[in-house]
Amino acid sequence: MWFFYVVLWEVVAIKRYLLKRLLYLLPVMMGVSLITFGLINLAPGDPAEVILRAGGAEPTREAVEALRDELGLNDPLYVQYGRWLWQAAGLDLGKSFRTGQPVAAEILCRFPATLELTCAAMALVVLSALPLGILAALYRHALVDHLTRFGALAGASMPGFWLGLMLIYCFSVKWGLLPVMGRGGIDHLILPAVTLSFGMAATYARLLRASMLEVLGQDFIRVARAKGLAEKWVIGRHALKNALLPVVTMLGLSFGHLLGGTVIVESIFAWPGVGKFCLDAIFNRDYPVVQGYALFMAVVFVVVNLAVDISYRLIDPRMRLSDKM
Amino acid sequence: MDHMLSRKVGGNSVIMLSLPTWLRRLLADRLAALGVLLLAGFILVGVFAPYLAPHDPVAVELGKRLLPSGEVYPLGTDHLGRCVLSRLIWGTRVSLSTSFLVLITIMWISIPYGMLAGWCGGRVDNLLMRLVDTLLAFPRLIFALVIAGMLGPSLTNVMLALGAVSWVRFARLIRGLVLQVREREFVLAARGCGTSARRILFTHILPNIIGPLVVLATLDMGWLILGISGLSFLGLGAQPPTPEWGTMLNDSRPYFQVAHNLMLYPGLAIMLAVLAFNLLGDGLRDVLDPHGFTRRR
Repeated sequence: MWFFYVVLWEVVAIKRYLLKRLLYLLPVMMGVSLITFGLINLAPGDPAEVILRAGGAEPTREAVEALRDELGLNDPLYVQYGRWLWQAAGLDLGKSFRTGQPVAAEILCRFPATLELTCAAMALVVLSALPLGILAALYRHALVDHLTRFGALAGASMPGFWLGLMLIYCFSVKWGLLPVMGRGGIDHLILPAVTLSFGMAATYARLLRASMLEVLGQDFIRVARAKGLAEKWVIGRHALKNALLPVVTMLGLSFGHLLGGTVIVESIFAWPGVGKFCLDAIFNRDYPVVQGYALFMAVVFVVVNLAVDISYRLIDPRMRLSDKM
Repeated sequence: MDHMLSRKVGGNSVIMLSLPTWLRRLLADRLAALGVLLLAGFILVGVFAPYLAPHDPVAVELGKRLLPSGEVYPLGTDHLGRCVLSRLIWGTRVSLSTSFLVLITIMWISIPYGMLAGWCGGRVDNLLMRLVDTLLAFPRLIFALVIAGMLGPSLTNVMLALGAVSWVRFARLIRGLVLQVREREFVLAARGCGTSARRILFTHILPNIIGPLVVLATLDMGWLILGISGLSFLGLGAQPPTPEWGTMLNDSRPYFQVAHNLMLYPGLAIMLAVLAFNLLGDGLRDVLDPHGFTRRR
């Protein structure tokens, strides 16, 4: 019976927390939509004129006026905003000036490519940071330790676009090992993913090292060793499990940053994702696409961060305890 | 010498950050000292660019395209026959001055904003921080890209865009610091004496929160340099023939099969400049921000 109440309490607490977080999302989303709506006003010139110019001909005054009426640009701003928000809520982000296709559909069909790149980079970060971080913590001041330190410093300072170009030069042009650009099999994915993940991998190796060192100094590790547990279990099960917790949270938050970094990588490697799409749109002055991209990325970013926050609370019991008190 | 310095610093554990002391502590950190050295080098190169550059950075000589390194052109020439070394040297001036200008602008916005939020508290704070939260909801680079893209390609627009996305973090940091400091005794004493809020904020609180602020500013300079060169690389920032590192990289993209050194040097310049600020920032953090307000998440 007692146990039942504890479980019930737990469920209620988490539900309340979820509700609170979701409610908190509302004003942020409103703000995001307001800012995105305002973006179009940054563009020089009248949108109606831009659309007509995109057709090629010099527009007449009457034609511009007619289109302004048609697009509702003569309505007061709040009416325009309301209408735009209503449409955006129904996933209608307007039509591309250039292709005439709905923006939302265009973005959605390109997003998997970007997601693939981001996930590959994330996998690389985890796969390289995990062993490097553990080794750096176990062999302090050894070669591995210095390597990760140097990598973290260089990675934080190195421009990703330069790293990408250098990688292309070495692996594709000089040695001809990997394809230069485009999307295809796994070999196409390697260079962009390495470019995107390089700095972050080293940073996480450092982070894991610090976290490991902190955990290794605690009493329960001494107990584990004192009871004669093999070192591989002490490190692999007891220490790593506890050291990973803070790292995992930040990893989740970094997902958004990786997603943000895709623009440049996609541009270098001609990766057909949303970032490249937006970049092309910028140079074509295809404003609805740029606007849609901003809104889409902000929403993804916010949702990912929220998901990470919530899952962290589910993983770490200590967080739940602190909420109750 | 180094050893003596560190011993002296170790003995003086009271955190009295008078200028010579913190400078001495900073320079005792070997990596930070390297950062200072690098940065001093870049600043000198930027300031004396007209005297250091062997050639005119924008002078086109089509007869001397894509030359390798040689005596007349130490780092060779680019696709229009311009001296790469001279362009790099002038590029130092462009990168450092633009990012510094953006930083100053950010300070102008974020210091009053953050202090207002922290000092007033309550509803004002709530409202001001809502805006900050909203702006933080956008990935930083993407937001800058979109703003710069909407405004149209130019160096000024890139600076505006980077400023618009970067002030938020400063505002949040400043607000948090003010919240902490405003309950301290010396602030209460000043209030008791009837000192005006503005005077308290600028003469009592600001000097007490300047440490973490300087650290964040130094680290952000590195990010700004990366941002400016990155957006320029994408073609949104400095337009040719401006000698800017990112633009140089972008210009050399079509030629990198025949002249890969064209790409090598601008990238190295960016990396070293950013590294200088990162090293200095990390060193400064140990000295000026012992509580770790600016620790990277």
